[in-house]
Formats: sequence, C-alpha cells, structure tokens
Amino acid sequence: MPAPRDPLRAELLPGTLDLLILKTLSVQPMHGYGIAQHIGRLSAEALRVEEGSLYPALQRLRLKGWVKAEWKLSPTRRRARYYALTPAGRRRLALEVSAFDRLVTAVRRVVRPA
Amino acid sequence: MTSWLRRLAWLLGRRRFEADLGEELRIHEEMAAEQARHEGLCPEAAGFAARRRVGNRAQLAEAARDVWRPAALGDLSQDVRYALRGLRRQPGHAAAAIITLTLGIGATTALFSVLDAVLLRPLPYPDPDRLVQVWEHHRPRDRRENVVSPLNYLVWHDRARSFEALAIHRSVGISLAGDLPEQLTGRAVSSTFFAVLRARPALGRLFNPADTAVGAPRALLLSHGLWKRRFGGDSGIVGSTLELREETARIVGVMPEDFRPVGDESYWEPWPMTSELRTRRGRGALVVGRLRDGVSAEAADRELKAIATGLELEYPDFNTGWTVDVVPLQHQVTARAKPVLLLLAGAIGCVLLIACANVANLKLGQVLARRGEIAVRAALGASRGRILRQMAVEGLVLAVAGGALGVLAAVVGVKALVRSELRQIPRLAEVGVDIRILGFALLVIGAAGVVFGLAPALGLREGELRQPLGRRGGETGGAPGGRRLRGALVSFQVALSLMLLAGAGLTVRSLGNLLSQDPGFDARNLLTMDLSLSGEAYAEERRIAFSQELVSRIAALPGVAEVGLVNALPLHGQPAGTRIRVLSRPAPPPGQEPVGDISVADTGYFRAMRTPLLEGRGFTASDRSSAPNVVVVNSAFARQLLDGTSPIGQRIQVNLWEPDSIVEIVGVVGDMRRVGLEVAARPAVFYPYLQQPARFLSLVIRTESAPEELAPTVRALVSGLDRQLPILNLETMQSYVAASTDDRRYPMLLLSLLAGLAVVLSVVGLYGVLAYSVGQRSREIGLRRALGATGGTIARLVTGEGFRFVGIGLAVGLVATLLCTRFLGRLLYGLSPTDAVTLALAAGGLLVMAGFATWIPTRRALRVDPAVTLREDG
Repeated sequence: MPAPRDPLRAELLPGTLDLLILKTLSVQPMHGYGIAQHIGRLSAEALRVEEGSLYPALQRLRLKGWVKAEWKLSPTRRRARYYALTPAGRRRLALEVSAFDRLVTAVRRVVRPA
Repeated sequence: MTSWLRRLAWLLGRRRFEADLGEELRIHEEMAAEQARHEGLCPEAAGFAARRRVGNRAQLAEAARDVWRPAALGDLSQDVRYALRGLRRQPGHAAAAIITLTLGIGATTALFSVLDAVLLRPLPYPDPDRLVQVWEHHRPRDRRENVVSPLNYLVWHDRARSFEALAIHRSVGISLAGDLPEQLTGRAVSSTFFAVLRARPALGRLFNPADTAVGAPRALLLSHGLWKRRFGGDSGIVGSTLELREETARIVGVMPEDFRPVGDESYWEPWPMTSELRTRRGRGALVVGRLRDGVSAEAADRELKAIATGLELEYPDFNTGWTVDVVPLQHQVTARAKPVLLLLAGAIGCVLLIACANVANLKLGQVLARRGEIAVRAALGASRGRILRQMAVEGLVLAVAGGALGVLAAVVGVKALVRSELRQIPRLAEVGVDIRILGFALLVIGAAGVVFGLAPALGLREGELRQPLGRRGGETGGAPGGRRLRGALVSFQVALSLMLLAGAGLTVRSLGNLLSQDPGFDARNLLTMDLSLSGEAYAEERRIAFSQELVSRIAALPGVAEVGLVNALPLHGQPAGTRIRVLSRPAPPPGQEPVGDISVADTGYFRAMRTPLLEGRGFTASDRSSAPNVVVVNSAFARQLLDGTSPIGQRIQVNLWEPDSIVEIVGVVGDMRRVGLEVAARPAVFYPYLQQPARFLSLVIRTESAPEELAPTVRALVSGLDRQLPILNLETMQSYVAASTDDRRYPMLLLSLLAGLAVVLSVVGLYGVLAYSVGQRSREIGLRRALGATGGTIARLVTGEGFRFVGIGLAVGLVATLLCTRFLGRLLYGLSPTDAVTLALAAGGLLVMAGFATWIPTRRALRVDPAVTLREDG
C-alpha cells in the first residue's frame, strides 16, 4: 500500500531511478536503506524513492550486471547487504548521465525558450 | 548472454536469494524504525511508520523476484497445474482425448512399423539390389513362379554370363532323435548358395567339399532359431554330432539371427550337384542369383529366356512351353504382401486422420466453451500471450499423457503383431517399434491438438478476448463459425469411417463366402495329424505294416467312426502335379499335356472325409503291389480330360514315380479343393497307399463326438507304436480349414479393428459437437419452448443438425468408397467391390451409431426448462 503522496514532492521521471541509484553507488557502496536516504537527503527530500520500486530496481541492475551485492558489516556493526558499482555499471552511469543531460536541456528549451 | 547465465545462477540458488531478500527487507525496516525513534517517535509509532514505509514485504519480494524470473519458465508450472486441474474438472473430455491419442498413436505406429520393415527395409544381405530369384514359367497354362528343375538350373549355371553366382536350393527334412523327437524342415543348398547371399555363419564355418565326400557324416548348419530353441544357444555345439533317427549328423556352424532366406527353415545341408541331376526329372527347387556388376535384372532375364528357348529345342518333351522369369529378390519377397500392406497403410492413415480430427474437434470445442473463462482472465489482466500459452500447455499436457499411453500401445501392438506370425507378412520377426514413425504419429496428432486449440484464440484480438463478458450467454447459437468447422470435421470423420467400414464389411463377407464354399469334404468331427516315416527303419514294407497297424488300432478306439490316410491334405497349397495322358485320346502336342494333382490315399480316406464315391469303386485291401496298378480320379478329371464320359476302365499314363507308368482308373470321387478354398479343384489322381506307400502321411480320423477330446488318446497310441516318431500338427480339421484362410483372415481382422476404431472415434466426435451445440443453444431452445415449440420440434432441431453432418459425411464417403474398394483386390471373394448390400449395411451401421451419438444431446435439449433459461438471461 503506497504511502500518501506529498503533492510537492516530485514524481520521478520514468527511467531516472536507475540513474539515481547508479550515481549514488558511484560515491561508495551502500545498502538499500542508505540509497533511499541518500537520494532523499541530496534532493532535500524533494525526491522520494519508494521501497516498492527501489528493490526491484536493484535486482534489475544486478541482472544487467551493473551492480553487485555483498553482505557486510556496517560502521555501526550491523549486518547489511551492500550494493556496489561494477565496471560495466560505471560505463552505464556515464551513458545515463549524458542522456539525462540531453533530456533536461531539451525540456528546458521547450519550457523556457531563450 | 551473461544475463542468462546470471538468471540461471539465480534459478539454481533460489532458496538463498529468497532468504537474502527477506533478510534485507527486514533490516531495511529496522533501520527505518531506528531513524524514526531518533526523530523522537515512541518505539511503537516508529515501528508502525517503518512498516508503512516499506509496505507489503511479500509483494515487494515478489516484484524483485519477477525481475529475475524468465517469464515463460516461471509460469510454466502454474500453467501445468491449471491444465491438470482443467483435466480433472472435465474427465469426459480428458478421457476422450487420451483414448483418441492412445489408439491413434498406438495403432498407427504398430502397423506402420510392420509396413516399414516389410516394404521399405532392404533385405538383410550385402548389396541386396543385385539379388534375383529365377522362376520357370509355363506359357501355355500361364503358370508363373513355377519351381525349377535342377537340370535346367545346371544348364543356366553353365551358360549364363549375367550372374556373379547362381544357386539352387530345395526343401528337405530330418527327424531329430531323443526324448523329444522332432521333425525339422531345412534347405539343401548348392555350394554357391552362401556366396550368392554373401552370408557368413555366426558360429563355425560354411560347408566345404569334404562335407559331401562319400562316407562323410551329413553336415548341417543350424538356424539361429533352432540353435536357441533346441540347443539353448550353446556355442560348444559347433563340431559336435547330432543324433538323427537313421544316422548321425555333424553340426558345422550356426547362421546369424537375421539369415532366413526362405522363412521357415531350421537348418541347411549341402546339395551336391551330381550328374544324376542332369536327367529330365520334375521341377521342385528354388533358384537365386547375384547379378554381375553392371548387369540389370532385365538383361539377365533376356539372357535366361534365350537359354530357355534353346532348352525347349534340346528337351522338347520336358521343356516345351517353358520359359524363365528373373525377378529382383526384394520385389519377390514383398510382392505378395504389398497390396495388402498398402491397403492397411491406407486404412491406418484414415484412422490417424480421424484421430486428428477428433483431437482437433475436442480442443476446438473446449476453447469455444471456455471463452467466458478466458474473458474473465483477460479482464483480470492476463495478456493475450499468457492465455495462448496456457492453452498450448493444456494441449501439451494432454498430448504427453496420451502420447505416453500411445507409445505403450505401440510397443504392445508390435509385440502382438510379431507373435501373430501372419504368414502373409514376410520377415515379420524383424519388426520392432519404429522410432521415426512413432515420432511422426506423435507429432501429427499433437500438432492437431495444439493448432486447433490455439487457432480460435489466435483469431481473437486483445480487445475481443473480453467481449463475451459484455454479452452474457453470447448471441443465440454461439459462435456459428466454430460450429460449422466442427461439423465439417465430423462429416470428414464419417466419410472416412464409411470407407473403412465398407472395406471391412467386404472382407468379412468375402471370408464368409469363402468359408461357405464346399471344400469337397466334411470338416466337422475330424481330427488330423501328420507323420513322417523317414529313414531306413521305414523301408517300404515297414511303412505299409506300420500304417496298417496304426489305422486298425485307431479305428478300434471308442468314439472313432472312420480312419483314413493320405499323403497331402486338401487346402494345403499346390500338391505334387504332373503331366497326364489318357491313352484312349490322341496325344496332345508337347507342352500342352493336361496336368493333374497326384496323391496317395488308403482304403478309408474317402469314407473318413465323406467325399462321395461317384462311380466305380474305392481302394480295397487287395490293391497291393502284386495287383494291377489302379487309381481313383476326381470328377474334375472326368469333366476336363474325358469330356464327361465315364473314366472307369480308362488307362492313363503318369510321369511321376516311374516315367511313363500306366495305370487303370477304377473309381471317381467328388472334387476336393487342394490349393485353397478359393481355387476350384484341378483334375486329381489318387494312388492306393499299398501300391505307393508314401513316407509323409496325414491321418484323418472321423469321430463320433468332439474330435479334440480324442487327441491325447491318439497321441499316446502313436507313441506306443514308435516312441521316437514325431507327431506334427495334431488338430481338428475345422481349425485346419480356418487356418487355410489366414492370409485373408488377418487383413480382415485388422481392417475390422481399424473400422471399429474409426467408428468409435467418429461417434465420439459427433457426440462432442452436438453436446456442445445443445449447451450453447440452451437459451434459444428455452425460448422456442416458451414460444410453444413441441418436444418433437426441439428433437428435430438437434437430431437434424447431427444428421446433416452425418448425411454429408455419408454422401462424400460413399463416393470415396466406390472409388477405393477395388483396391481390396485379392481380399475379395465372391462379391463385387461395390457390393450394394455391404455398402448399405455399412451406411446403416454408421447411421445407427450416429443415432446413439445424437440421442443423449437430444434428451438434454428436451429437458431444457424455458423458465430457467429465460430467468438466467434476465
């Protein structure tokens, strides 16, 4: 059951979740909860990653071979599954970033003509 | 792709994956709860907030799992479960489909396997296409495939250039001594025989010249079958001696299992080609040859025909009118069986088609009937592909179940066929289940199921899947297109069934005609048995003494009315025959002499057989060797050779035992059919046993009660006279007569079986269509009832529909039948291939069966309650 939405919170653009996850993991390996927190924090809580989307997305990225998962102890001595970028994931991130840039530029040109 | 490898790894480590995912989500929830507490919520509220945030963990895990699961694979087990549930819900449908598949696949595979082995597989010899059989051929009487005279063979052998090697062989017999005396038939073969066939022994060696040296023991090569049966497959047997009744023989080797050139031989022995054979004696041997490279069978045929022309001039009294035919051996082996097998193949094909139509019909009906269910599933979000897959899986589940049973039925069927030892099917023992054909049948029937199961659904576009939901009950009559297709399938089945039924009917009636033929004797209450008085112990005097003793002792048994003996029973096939000349008539030109069957009978034979004595006298005890030579002839002899004048007192010249011996006719008996029930009697001459004591005897014993009850007593009596004498074929005359029609009986039985199968399958098909139709039209029927239609009108509505399909099928089938039954050819006897009575019976039978098939749906239609159907629609 999805939580009630805050109307001010932006809906994720389709396809951007993978980009956000890959970008987050490029900083350092992280567990699922950490990824969700990280994205929320960096976007000043404007972007909210649903757990219902996050975990399937992580599996999808694993299947594609862009991230790998590993059980590790957190700095707080807690066992958690950490996700990390693979070299293929790093290449993919570059592709996704440039594609996103092009998209944003294009959208901006339409919305705010110079 | 590597993603496939990862998927595979996931599949293999699924349990681990589930545990990891569950743990991960639990930790996630804990972390969220911790954070909430940090933000100042009480532990309970924090836990609640965290749970709310993560949502349904099971659903989440399922979504994560879905990423990995190969779509087609993941749902397969679910599809299979659905399919099995569906089958259990409709046991009738499942049973019909599985029975159809079992019978269709089993019967067709078994019979096609036989066909393939007989017609298509080459002979088990190297380069079989170079092998030919050589026959003599009497042109004036158009007697083809006549056995060969050794004299002529030796001439061909010396002069012909077409052959790499030419060999001759003839039938011989031995009696094994010991506790289990046994009479064996074998072949005496010329030294070239094994070279022609390029055969090697499985054990030991072939014959060499020393085997035929004077004083050498009789050398034998055993057949694989005899070696297994009598000697337990003991390889130490090679080189050992074997006790025969009169002598000892030496076993030099054992031939391989598939070496059976003639078919029933148990052993081979050398036949030295002595100069004695170069005399003008009878014809009685078989000749095979291997063609030289580059020489065709036609060329060899021309060469031998030219040589035969020379022989006609060299031996005019013996060879006038005789020529030679060279026939490829493969053709020779299969020629006789081919028409019957092709006919059966056609019948099998028809049953296969009917089975296909049935499966198609069942699937089609099922899919149409389930459109409602499909619509619900589509509305609940199942994609079109998903629904199609579900249907394909259901078809496959049925196909696997039916196919497995079908394979089983095929194995059992082939075993049964091999055990039946149909005489007409050569090389039957080599038949096994043919995997290719099994695969073919599985494929054809399976494809019919899948194609017809999917076709209606394929035709539906995404949006249309849900349509039936909107119109509950469907339009009146439901999918008329589907019903028309199903009706056409039923008509097709009925047409094929009529063909098979008519064919079977014709063969059944032919056999009936044949069995009602008067064989010239009374087969009831007769016991028969064969004895072979071979060897030196049974010299002529001894044979006479023994047979007289035997006959008088059997005659003295209580329950025995008459006893007689003969050297060859009627209906046994072509008996010994030779040229006969009536001395009072002008001598016909050479080669045109009339031919008669020659046999030997004793004083009691005609009385025991109840063959009437028409004129003169039968044999008496005084017709012994010291008395004048006399014979009895049959009435065909009187008709054909004496133009109906009385033969009594006529003297005839017969070339058989002694050349040109002259005998006097003292009696005339009724005709007995010698070759088979379908062949009218030829002129026949009987010699008295006392004057021609044959070595081979058939006893006929007329009993006062059931003849089989006397069999043990007779057996004991013979053993009492000579413990070592093998008793052959102790059976009742009626079973002997029935066995003489085996060549027709088996095709008839198979054809009847196939026709029965066809009718059952068609009736199931018709029933299925009508039952479905009534179900679909119950609203229409209810309406009609409500508007005042009587029961009769409703019954006519349903049966009318059924009989329209049947009627079309019968009309088409009738035309096809009239075109096809002439292929029954030799299986027919005494009636035309378009016999109206049989056709009418077949059509009538199908109509009755169709009546049964329509009866149940009609009754259901009559029970439709208008109030109920109308309310349902409200």
